Amino acid sequence: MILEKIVLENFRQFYGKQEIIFSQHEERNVTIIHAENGFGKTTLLNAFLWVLYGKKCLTNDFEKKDHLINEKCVRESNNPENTYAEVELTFLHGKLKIVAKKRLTLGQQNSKSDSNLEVTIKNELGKIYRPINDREYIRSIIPPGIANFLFFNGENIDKYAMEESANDVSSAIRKMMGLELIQRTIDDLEDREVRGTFVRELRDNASQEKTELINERENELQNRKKIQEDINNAQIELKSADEEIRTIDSKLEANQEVASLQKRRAELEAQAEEHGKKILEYNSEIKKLINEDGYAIIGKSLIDPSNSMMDQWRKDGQIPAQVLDTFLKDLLKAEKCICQRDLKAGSTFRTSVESLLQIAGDQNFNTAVGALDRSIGHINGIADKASEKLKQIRIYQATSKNCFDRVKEEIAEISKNLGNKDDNTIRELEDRRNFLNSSRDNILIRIGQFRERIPVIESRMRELQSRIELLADDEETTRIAQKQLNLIDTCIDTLKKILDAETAELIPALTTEINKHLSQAVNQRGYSAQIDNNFSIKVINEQGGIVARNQALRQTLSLCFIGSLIELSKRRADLPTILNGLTGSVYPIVMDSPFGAMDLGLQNDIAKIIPELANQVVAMISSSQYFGGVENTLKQTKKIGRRYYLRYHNTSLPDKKYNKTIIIEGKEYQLFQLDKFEHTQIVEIF
Amino acid sequence: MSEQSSSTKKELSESMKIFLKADPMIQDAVKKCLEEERHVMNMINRPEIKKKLVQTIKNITKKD
Repeated sequence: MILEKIVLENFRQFYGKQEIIFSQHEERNVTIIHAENGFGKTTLLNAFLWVLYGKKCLTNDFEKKDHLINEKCVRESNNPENTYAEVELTFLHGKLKIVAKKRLTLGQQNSKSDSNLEVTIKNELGKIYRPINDREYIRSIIPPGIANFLFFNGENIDKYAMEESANDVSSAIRKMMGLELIQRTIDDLEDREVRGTFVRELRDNASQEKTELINERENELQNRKKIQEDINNAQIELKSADEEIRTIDSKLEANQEVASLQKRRAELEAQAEEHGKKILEYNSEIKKLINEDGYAIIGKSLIDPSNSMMDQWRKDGQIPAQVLDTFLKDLLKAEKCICQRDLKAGSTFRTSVESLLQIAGDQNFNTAVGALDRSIGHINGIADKASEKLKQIRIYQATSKNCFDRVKEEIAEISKNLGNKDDNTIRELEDRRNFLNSSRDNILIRIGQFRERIPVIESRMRELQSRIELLADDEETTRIAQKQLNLIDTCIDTLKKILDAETAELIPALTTEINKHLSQAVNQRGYSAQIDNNFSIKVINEQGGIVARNQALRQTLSLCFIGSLIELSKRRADLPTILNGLTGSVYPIVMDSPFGAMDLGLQNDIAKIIPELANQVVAMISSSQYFGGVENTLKQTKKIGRRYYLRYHNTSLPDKKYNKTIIIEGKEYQLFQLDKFEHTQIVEIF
Repeated sequence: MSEQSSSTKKELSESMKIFLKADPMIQDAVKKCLEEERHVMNMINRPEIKKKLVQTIKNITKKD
């Protein structure tokens, strides 16, 4: 997808028909739109989302979503059907030129309905045609799930670099890399119209006993699904609490009075997270050790007395056997001792030899004594080693626990300090933060409880499945129905495993790409990124320690992550996959305020990598973010292909505190213009 | 195992190994279901897909 132009007509503050043509130049791939806060950056970003996906996909910070038509047009309208807002986006998709157009009439706006998308396609021969289904056609090119990675506000993207965003990260990987196809196949196969059809067919033809078992198994399957839904809902709640905590943290960090405290808390929370993780790792190590060698430690109380008994028997000469019973039996049979004495029945010598049989043992006895000696020695060795290892792990665990408690105490102290501030706003923010943290703990407990139930249900399902399979099918139809159900279940299971493997296999390639971007952005800091098997992205310093991530670093990391996904998606065809012929896609990036909460140093670093994030980049930047380091850095990259700015028209000019002009490459441009009504004008610079 | 076949095995992706380990009938079903989904995705005719998947599974079991 390569953007060609966007045309806005009476869309919010963009009065009349106005257009932006995007740079399609391979080298100068960046289009910059300079816009002060409140001039229409968010509206522009949402114009892309609205034309492609409709009202439901507009960003949260875009207010009054039901009022898209320019207010002046609404005021002056005398026919609701002739008053409208329209956005037309033209882009290239492979060799096709596609125009997506959406028009909302005042009538539709008043009835709060959304308008229809209209798509026209022009192929390489110049033939123009319409797709069968406009909406689905656009969604097949840019699935709505990836829209957040292509059209975004830089201030809200830091979530991908959060510990708890593993689901977002894995979902982003799947969507951008075309793995949604596998997920969709799984979802459709599990659907009641597909799998359900085979269940019904089997039930209709099976014996009563089998039907009951099938019903029970299906109930368990529903329970399993319900639990998964509960987990998903709890995770959404968790995410929303996390997002609100992050917003509060940003507000506290922006407050000069408490900025340093908040910064320290962020560092401590990252440390607490690491200590917490280590404690869990030690727990797992202990579990593993007990599982493998615990018998030796527990069995030591039995082994030690056995060992003493063996020693005593050895001292008494009872073990090993001094004389073999076979030898004595041979003498008695021959009635002759080796000393040539007669051993006839009733003789004193025979009685003496017979009495020796009581202490004699056979060869097996001696072999067993040897084996017992070796086993006791072996178990004692394992027990000693395992006890020593256990002691060590417990020391490490206790150290981590001490660190964790110390860090938590300091966090609590900071929280208390913030909660006692004279400033009402700070106190309220801190109270809310404490409330959210406690809700968060409850949600995590709930998720844990849900997860504990899954293996119980799955084990019950397996048991029911075995019982179902054991029941013979008399009827051919039942046999076939059973076979079809088995086939679909195994097929779903295999697809799930394939999906997990495909996603996991992309991690190394993605990590390499992220580090390529990250090293350019923050190279002087010596940071590198790591994605673990749970899709959690970490930043590591040169000493191998985990770097505490403030909002700015999270934004940087998220930008690198998005750029890497776009790069991998472009190279999709070269990456190993079971999905033969899955070709890569080219995507642009359209970003509002790409520098978000970054400090000047980081803004400068990020400016270097912005042109590299995608084949085509559109960045909407305010003067406060642009002038300074960013301007020079972007200029040095020589990547800016087109440039616009937004001019604000109003009946009065702003007071003195606002800059009235911007100077771009030595030329001055008016940011404000006196006019008869309020609106925004798109002005082309070059 | 020859050097060549060992290196071929190394190049196989994990997902491919999972796929190849499956019973031929499952392989057939996985392949056909994915093909149906992709076809439908490109043709933008989603509601039809569920009927097609049912038919795919029925055809495969019929062949056996």
